[in-house]
Amino acid sequence: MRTRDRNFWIQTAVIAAVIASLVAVFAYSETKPLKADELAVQIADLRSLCSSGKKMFEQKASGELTDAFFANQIELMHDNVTSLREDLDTSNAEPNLRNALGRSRELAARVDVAFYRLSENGLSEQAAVEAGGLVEPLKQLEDQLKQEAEK
Amino acid sequence: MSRHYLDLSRELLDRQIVDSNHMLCGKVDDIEIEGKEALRVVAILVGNRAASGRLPELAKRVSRGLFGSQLIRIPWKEVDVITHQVKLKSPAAEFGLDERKGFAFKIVSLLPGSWKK
Amino acid sequence: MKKALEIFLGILTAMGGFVEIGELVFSVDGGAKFGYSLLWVVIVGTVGIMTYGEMSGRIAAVTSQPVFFLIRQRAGYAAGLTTLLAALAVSLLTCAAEIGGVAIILKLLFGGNYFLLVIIALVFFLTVVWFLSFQAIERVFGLLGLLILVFVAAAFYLDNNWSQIASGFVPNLPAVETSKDYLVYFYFVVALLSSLMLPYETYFYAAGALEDGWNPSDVNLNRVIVIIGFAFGALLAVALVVVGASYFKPMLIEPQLPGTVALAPASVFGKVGLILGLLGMFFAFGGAAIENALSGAYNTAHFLGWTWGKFRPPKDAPRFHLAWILIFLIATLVILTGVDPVQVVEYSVIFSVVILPLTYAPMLSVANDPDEMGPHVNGILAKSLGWFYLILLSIAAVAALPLLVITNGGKG
Repeated sequence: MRTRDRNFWIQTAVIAAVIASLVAVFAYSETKPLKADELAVQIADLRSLCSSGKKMFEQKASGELTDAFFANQIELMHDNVTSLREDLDTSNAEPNLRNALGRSRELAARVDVAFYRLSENGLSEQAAVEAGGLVEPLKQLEDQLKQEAEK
Repeated sequence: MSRHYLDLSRELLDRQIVDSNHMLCGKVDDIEIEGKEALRVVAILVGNRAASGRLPELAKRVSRGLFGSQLIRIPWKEVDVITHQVKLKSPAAEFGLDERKGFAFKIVSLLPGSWKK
Repeated sequence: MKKALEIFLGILTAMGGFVEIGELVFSVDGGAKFGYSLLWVVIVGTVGIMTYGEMSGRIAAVTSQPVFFLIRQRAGYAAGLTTLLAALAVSLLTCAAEIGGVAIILKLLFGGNYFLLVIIALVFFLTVVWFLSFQAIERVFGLLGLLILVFVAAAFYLDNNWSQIASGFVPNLPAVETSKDYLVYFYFVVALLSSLMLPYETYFYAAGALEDGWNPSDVNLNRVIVIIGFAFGALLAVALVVVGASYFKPMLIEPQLPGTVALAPASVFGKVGLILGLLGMFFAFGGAAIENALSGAYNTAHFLGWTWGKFRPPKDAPRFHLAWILIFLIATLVILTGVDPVQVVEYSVIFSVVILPLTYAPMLSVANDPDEMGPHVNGILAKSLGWFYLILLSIAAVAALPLLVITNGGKG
């Protein structure tokens, strides 16, 4: 009986330690300030979404998409944009990235507005142009952050 | 069962058990043996109590907590023949191994069309 | 004639299981990030799944024993149970992701609330799997899954750089901007390889062989089906990478949503292309959801010795049927938490790389065993390929989790 009980407690302790350390690592990674490459990832997502949004508008205009597809895909993409923006608004970044974070938040806000307008009939064309125009600045910021991460 | 020698781990343990009607009845989860020098198989054991006994202590207790401690003992004389599976001499219900008496059957048989095909 | 039909339908099934939401998104996204550089991974992965798919089918035909029978007998209860639990976890997560994917496709076709569509998808799957026979399910999802070939057609019409495509088939490193991008590339190599060799494909294929009542004379049929079926599946995967590289990369789009992927056939074929692409995805994802739920039930029944099979009235195999129903229900609950299906399948693909060696090692051991296989034991080709992939996957298994962490989930 004794050996079995001892084994039980040893195994439980090991499993508990593993779980505790996983939780700790996860909690730490959620709260620590963003690094350059992590920020670059989010900018890349925004850039990709902007380019898709613009392309989708063009395809809808040439009749290649159904109305249902356009409306619902824009909605799904917009959800992603909003959650990226919220992430950026609520996170901290490392001290040397203050400017980059500020710029990221500014661009994210513009992407959010563009996507909001893409689903409004009267405003979509202008919104598509705006979204397309944001691809280049987002890419530049992304490349800048990647270079920063290499240092 | 007329065999004199049996390689327990290769031919008996973890093998499929079938009853006299070739219905599947679970696996050989453990084996009861007796004797000191000439070992003899007395019974085969089926059920979570037997299977979980082969796990490390923590896993054993979790397994019994989740899936119960059922144990069904099939005396060796009930074994008919061993090929790639262990065939018994009687139907599953005699040993309490008939799936159609359990909890799963109660639920599934309520669904429409469960008696078809 | 009957044999030809059987071969054709077998090929459809093999093809059908190939494409699911993970492999679709990884292929196109990989192409969008790295151009044609990942094409060699498609070939390596396809030969791998052909090797082990053929082995699992041959083992089933010759020994009438499914994969988890062998795992329990060869590896014992404790190790076998570990493999079972891991396989169940992967199947559950994959099923959840496919259900989410189906709901997204329904939303793109018809609109509506996503969570409501998830419930509708669940009801659809439960009804289809309950009332249709195994063969009917294979046929319906196999045939209708062919609609996804619109991606292959679309790939031909894109502005492709054919010489670069050819060089993509040789193992290579892409031109990247930062050294971290190499790590992302390796992550995609591992993820794509894993999604091509997902274990449920072999579990389900072997279980299907048993449902269809295969015997040793079907060994050649098995070989033909596996090679042709998976080759067609590979063609599809290649087309998806090409679509990513030729269509999305120049526009700086990295698709993370299944709907985005459908823009490619829409560009080439207009609304018809869009609808075909969406329907193809619907049946591909749906087929994968069903295969994962059923393979979870098969694996559990085979491991614990329960009565299994869709060829008998459900009341005669109550635990087996309850198992797949439960898997669908739990998978739906997971997706109803609002988690992104593509994220879910990403984790399940990476986790499954870690368990692939656990599944394939017993299979290789049995297929190499002349006592079990008789004259159908592994020849020199099957044996060499078997060992090659076991070693390759073990390396990938060790690298997978660190790569996932370092590359922030494959993004950089």
